Amino acid sequence: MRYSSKKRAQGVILLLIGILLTVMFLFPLFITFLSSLKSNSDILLGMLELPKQWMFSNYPEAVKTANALNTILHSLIIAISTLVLTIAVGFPAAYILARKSYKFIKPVYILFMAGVMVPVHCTLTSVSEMASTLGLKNSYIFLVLLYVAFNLSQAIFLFTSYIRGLDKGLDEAAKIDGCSEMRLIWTIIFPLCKPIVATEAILVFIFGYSELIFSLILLTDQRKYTVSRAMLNFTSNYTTSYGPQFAFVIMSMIPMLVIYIVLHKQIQEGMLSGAIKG
Amino acid sequence: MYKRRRTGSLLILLPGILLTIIFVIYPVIRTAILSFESWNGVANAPKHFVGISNYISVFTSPKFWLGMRNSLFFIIGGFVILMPASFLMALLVTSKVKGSGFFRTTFLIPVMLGTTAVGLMWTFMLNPQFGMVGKLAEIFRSETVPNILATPVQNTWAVVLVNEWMYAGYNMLIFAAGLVAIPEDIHDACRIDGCTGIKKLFYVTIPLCKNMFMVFSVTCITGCLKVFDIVWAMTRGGPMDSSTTPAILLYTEGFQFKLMGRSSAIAMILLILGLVISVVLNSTIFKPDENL
Amino acid sequence: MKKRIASVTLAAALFTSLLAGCGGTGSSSNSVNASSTGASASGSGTVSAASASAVDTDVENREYKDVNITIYTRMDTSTKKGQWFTQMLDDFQKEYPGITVENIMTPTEADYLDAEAVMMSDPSSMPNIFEEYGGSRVLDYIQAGNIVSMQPYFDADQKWTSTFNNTGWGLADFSDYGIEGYYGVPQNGYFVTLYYNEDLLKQGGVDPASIKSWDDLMDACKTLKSAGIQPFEMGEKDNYRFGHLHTVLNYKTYGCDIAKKLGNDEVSYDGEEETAIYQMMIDAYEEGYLGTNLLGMDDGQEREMFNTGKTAFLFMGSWYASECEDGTHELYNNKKIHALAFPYVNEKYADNDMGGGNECYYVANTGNEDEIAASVLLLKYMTSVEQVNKLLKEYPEISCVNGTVEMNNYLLNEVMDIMQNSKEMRGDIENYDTQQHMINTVRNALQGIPTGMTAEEVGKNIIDTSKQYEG
Repeated sequence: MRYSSKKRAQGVILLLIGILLTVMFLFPLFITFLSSLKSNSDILLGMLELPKQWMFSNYPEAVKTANALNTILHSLIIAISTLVLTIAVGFPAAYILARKSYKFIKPVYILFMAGVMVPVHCTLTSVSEMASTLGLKNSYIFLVLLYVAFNLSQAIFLFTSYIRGLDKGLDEAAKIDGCSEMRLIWTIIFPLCKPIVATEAILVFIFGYSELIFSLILLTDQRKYTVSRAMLNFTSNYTTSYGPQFAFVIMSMIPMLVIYIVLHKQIQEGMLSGAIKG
Repeated sequence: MYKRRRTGSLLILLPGILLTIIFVIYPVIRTAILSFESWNGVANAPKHFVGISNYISVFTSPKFWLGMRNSLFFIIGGFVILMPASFLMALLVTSKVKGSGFFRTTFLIPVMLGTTAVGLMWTFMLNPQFGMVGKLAEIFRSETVPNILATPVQNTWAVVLVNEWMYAGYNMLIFAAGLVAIPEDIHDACRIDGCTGIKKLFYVTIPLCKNMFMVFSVTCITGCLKVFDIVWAMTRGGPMDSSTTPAILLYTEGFQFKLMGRSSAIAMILLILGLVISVVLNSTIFKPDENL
Repeated sequence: MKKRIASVTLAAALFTSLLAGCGGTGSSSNSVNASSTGASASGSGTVSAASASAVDTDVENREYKDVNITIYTRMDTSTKKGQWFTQMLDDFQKEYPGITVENIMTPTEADYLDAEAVMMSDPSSMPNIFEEYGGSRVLDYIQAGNIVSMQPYFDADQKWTSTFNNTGWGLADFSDYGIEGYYGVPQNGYFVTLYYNEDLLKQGGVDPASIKSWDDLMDACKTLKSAGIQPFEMGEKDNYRFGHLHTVLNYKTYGCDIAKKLGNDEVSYDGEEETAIYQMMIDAYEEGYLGTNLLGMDDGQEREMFNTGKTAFLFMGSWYASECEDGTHELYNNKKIHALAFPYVNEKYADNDMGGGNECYYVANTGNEDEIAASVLLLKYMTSVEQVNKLLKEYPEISCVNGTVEMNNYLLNEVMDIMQNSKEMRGDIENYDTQQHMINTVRNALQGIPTGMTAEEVGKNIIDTSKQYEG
């Protein structure tokens, strides 16, 4: 009896904390939404006031200025390709790094680790030079491969750490059954790692969807702009139209939220399932 | 047999290695070479070998040390605020509390907004004239409204806090993944032994999430060393460089002052420092457990 | 061996194109083929080929086949100027179907410069045409042989050259550095003045006609402030704001010559003259005249405060008057805003001003003659009186090419009347320094004023930072 009431109290406290945090995290979103319906001068008067003039036109304005539907679609394509490739390349590699003890494992691991440390700005000139020499400016394939390379380090790092924490018994059993390495990785280890894969998937998706600096130097064709590149169109030489900018922020979030909500069950399951079987 | 296995393993690693070499290592090698040269970043302009003088000018520059100090603020904030907060959030969303799925979504919203939007929003919120700070001062009838983003030290901490706010959800995911990996039978065993609450947290849960704490430590330290986006979006490193970071300096020395050599030297210092710290972390505190 | 053949063809190409230039339309298809082979085989190494005296300046009558060029600008399609620009590019491509123009627009300054630095770091990624502001950045490009001299084209087409006025040549002229000839095509100019809100001044009991000197302005600020009206609300978060104030105060105190003296260290940034300027700014700041939230506001917000009638004065370049055309702006529409000459400190220099060229276009030397010719052609098209008239009708501005239409922007016309009286004009004072970090260094140090630095400290900061960039 005492035990369950204590547990209940714990639950209530957690719930309260959760609600508090939700308010903290959602408040700026609310402000963004409010601002997306304001005129420039209303925004500059104060954040919390209701707009004097409800600027619903900010939305169509944003769609026009940023060519919103197209740019959002481009960002989605890039983000999803990056995500799939990163996991396809990174996951098996992480397994090898976590489980094998060949001499080359350590240097290769350090090679990938180095990728986590590299400051992006020092690679800009080299990457741009590569793209223009190969004529691959405006190529989504080049951009996606580049994104994969920059996400790979983090992904491999996460996956390796996670796999190291898993029981080795399973792979031994599979090996005795004569299971090939690739099959072992994808049919046995991968399902166990769903929580971390789902986590990394979200992180890579967000990166691919909102990356700016590379898309700024590599995408020069306006028809190929991505969300964050298009966002720059709102801040002009001498004026900034804040309202449509906020409207575009809201709009560009919608696809991410929709995907998240649609796949919520799978992600949730993925994130919570792994261990129970292990 | 062994050889075939080894080749198989190498083949699996190959695509990743290739991508990393082309897009990450090659630029780094060029940066390394450039860090010993003097170049104004202009095509066809001559590059001169200058030895280690770029490194000397970086190490003797007060701006660089100011940036390092600010990065240290980020690291302190990361371990003192971000780590406990996101671990707590991870506990919350993996618990069976009502609405944990909803919480998980909302906690992720800041990072989904993207740095530009977050920076824009928070600079408005912190603005003494039209933001929240002004409103608060009005409520408390304070005569002077602090301009947080324009006051040295304060401004760096403000950016640190916004950074924690933005990335708490992101790190929560990492910890959550670690938490759900704890096998159910361990939870059962704890229940039987009467090990619950805080005791269980410190003696069972946290040690079992060791790998995730190591992931956090490494990503936090390296992330803080090269922090750029959020600072740029909020203060551009100013006023008067007071909220600068090494990565901001790398950018301004390279692309504004056109001292590509010096900029490259900063990049190399950051890279080597990050690598050393994570290798040390990897092989001491978080030494992989061979027994597992 | 291959190289030698290439250079022979190149010489032939130059010769034929020279002929083509003299003979008008004749034999041009031949020259196109020959020259494109020459250029592609010789690659980026042939810097001299394009800057040689034997340039084919008759770009109009050249035959273009599948020539692709890129133009990199800070245009913004949500402004009237940006709309004119895209329309102009469409028209151009219709008129010259052999040329395709890729239009890269990055409106934000920081991102623009960032991407420009990356693009210009390698011959393979240089845009054919880009927008810049002269000064040491462009000088670096010229010294590396990356920019095509416009002089032969200006020389060859006097009719085109004669349509330009004197506003913008400063951006194309690098003779101070020992480089002869014009290296760019200036597009528009600017002129710094003081704008005021008629109603607020009346309300505060200040007669705008009485503001002649800096002291008059300070007195006006005092009167306004006591009437509860905020004089200025400067957006010093964008540190060019105090940078400009520092520049204009210098010119109004010591005359435009001070720029050269500072540049060659005859006058020092921590010397008596400059300390006096910082002190003027500090005094105005400490009285609260320049703003109440200097570091919390950017220049966009500064303008918005003025536009919505919250401040009495705005000190800014003529682009402000131009931009009033965009969007709805009540005060402007009701003609409540007017321009005044920036007050003098020393009456002797009342006609010395801050202004000059604003935006200038440069052609990158990609080594490909077709691209260069097409780029020059596009710039000639863009600065043709016909196109300039179209622009000025939509978006009045201080143009470097004399338009022949009436501009219906009353505020800009007021600014231009003031500009008529100016005897000498110069741009940002730091740009006359041989050290190119100076503009960032000085602006950065001036940001110290609102954090409470003294005049001596500002000067010392500039000198100390400079020392780090020496050698």
